[in-house]
Amino acid sequence: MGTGPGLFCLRSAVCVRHPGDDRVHAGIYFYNSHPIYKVDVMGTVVYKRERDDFFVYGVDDSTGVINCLCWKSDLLKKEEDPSKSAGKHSNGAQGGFNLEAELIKLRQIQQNHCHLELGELLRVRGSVKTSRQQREIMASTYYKVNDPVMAAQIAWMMEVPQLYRQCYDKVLQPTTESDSPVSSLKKATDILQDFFQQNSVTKFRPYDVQDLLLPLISRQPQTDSDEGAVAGPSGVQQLRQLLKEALKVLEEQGIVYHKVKSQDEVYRVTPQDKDLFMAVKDIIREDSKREKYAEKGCHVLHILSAVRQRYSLNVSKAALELVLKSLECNSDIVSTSDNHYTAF
Amino acid sequence: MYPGITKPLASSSLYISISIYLFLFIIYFNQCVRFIFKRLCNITMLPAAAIFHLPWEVNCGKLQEGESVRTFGRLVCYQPEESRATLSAQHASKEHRVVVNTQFVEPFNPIVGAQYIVLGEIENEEEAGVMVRARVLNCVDGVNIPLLQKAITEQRSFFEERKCTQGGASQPADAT
Repeated sequence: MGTGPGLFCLRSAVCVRHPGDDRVHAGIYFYNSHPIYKVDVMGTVVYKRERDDFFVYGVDDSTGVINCLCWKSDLLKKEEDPSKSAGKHSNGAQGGFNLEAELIKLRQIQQNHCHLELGELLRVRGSVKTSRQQREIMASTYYKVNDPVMAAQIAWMMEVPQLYRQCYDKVLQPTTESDSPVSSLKKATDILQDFFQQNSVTKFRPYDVQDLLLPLISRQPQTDSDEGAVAGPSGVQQLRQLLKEALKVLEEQGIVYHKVKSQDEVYRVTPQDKDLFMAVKDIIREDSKREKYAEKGCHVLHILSAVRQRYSLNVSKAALELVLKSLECNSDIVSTSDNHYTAF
Repeated sequence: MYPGITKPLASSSLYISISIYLFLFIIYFNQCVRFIFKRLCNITMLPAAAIFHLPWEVNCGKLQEGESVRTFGRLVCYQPEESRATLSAQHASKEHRVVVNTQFVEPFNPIVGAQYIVLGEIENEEEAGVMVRARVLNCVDGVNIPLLQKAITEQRSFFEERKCTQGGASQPADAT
């Protein structure tokens, strides 16, 4: 969140605190506790200085004034005489659409967007720098804003205080402690994976691992204070729901799979399933001996269909890919090209 | 052998060398002064931020001489020979006028009756009273004046709010 561009009013851009102002830091600025990477300002040009490579525009938005260093693009640097080039190219024109003339027009429009005079409205987005004891914006993007009835400026003046109230003036909350549904799902999958790895679990039933996710559920009621006390059954339901979702995610990733789809929901953990590894290795070894696959190797999909025929119908492509990667790391098989494998 | 001749020669060469050194010193000094002046100018050249004021606030005399302001109004008359324009705004069934010195923004195309935004410094003149020496004078005819006023007051109340919540612990404003 802190690395995105922020709509800033200049007063804040001028006031951002630099940690330890007397020491040089690599462009780190803070506003309250928000780290600033890029700022976005809009204001009237009150100062202009032009050099060969860049403009320096002093921008004033009525809350502050700051210099903006705007580099000229290569198009702007080459100031061709339009009449000369038009004369040169119109001789070869095929009538109708003249590409050269259109390009010249485009360049002129681009120049208009970048050449500003005092009093015009400029929008600048860029990083904050300190140069010669002064804050400056090093523009990554800048353009002239056509605002004949001040609609853009008025909208900006109304929007920016709202943004400050809602976001910038609040203390930054690091997102690691949040209990949002997405992150608790991620935590659930991490907990399960760690458990499988540490205990070398080959197969399990959902009921066995349900209790592992209890800490995630018991944390949630504290944040839902407006919903009242969480009764026992709904806590269990939440737990089951979370487990179901976590197992679904793990199944999609190929980390767990059902060997046999039955009433009894037995899951197998792919990285720990020696039988599956052996089966895949055998398939590849046997098929690599056949002339058809001797040179090129077996394609992943061929291996997948063979595994599904001989071992289990429910092995997913993701699970197989995990197995193949692990076999390759152990030098049991070799990949001959993208998606093709052969025995070592 | 000719002592009279050698003496003037010696002093003239000394004179020449001194003048050369002096000349070089003057050039060097000039460069230094220019360099310092350039640096100073670079640092101090940005004008102050022009805070938005409502036209009736400009005339009431609460603003200091030299303060940078931004205000608006309808152009009622323009006297090119005196470089003076008058903007007018209605508030609480009274007409308020702001006199603008247009010397720095000329030539400009005056559209009498159109809304204008002026950005400049306050000057207190004996005859005209409070005047704004314009650095920017833009025609914004068609602007929604009530909405602009609302935006100005919204911005102001935001800064007041901030001042209250932060108390005395305001953040340091570096340089400008």
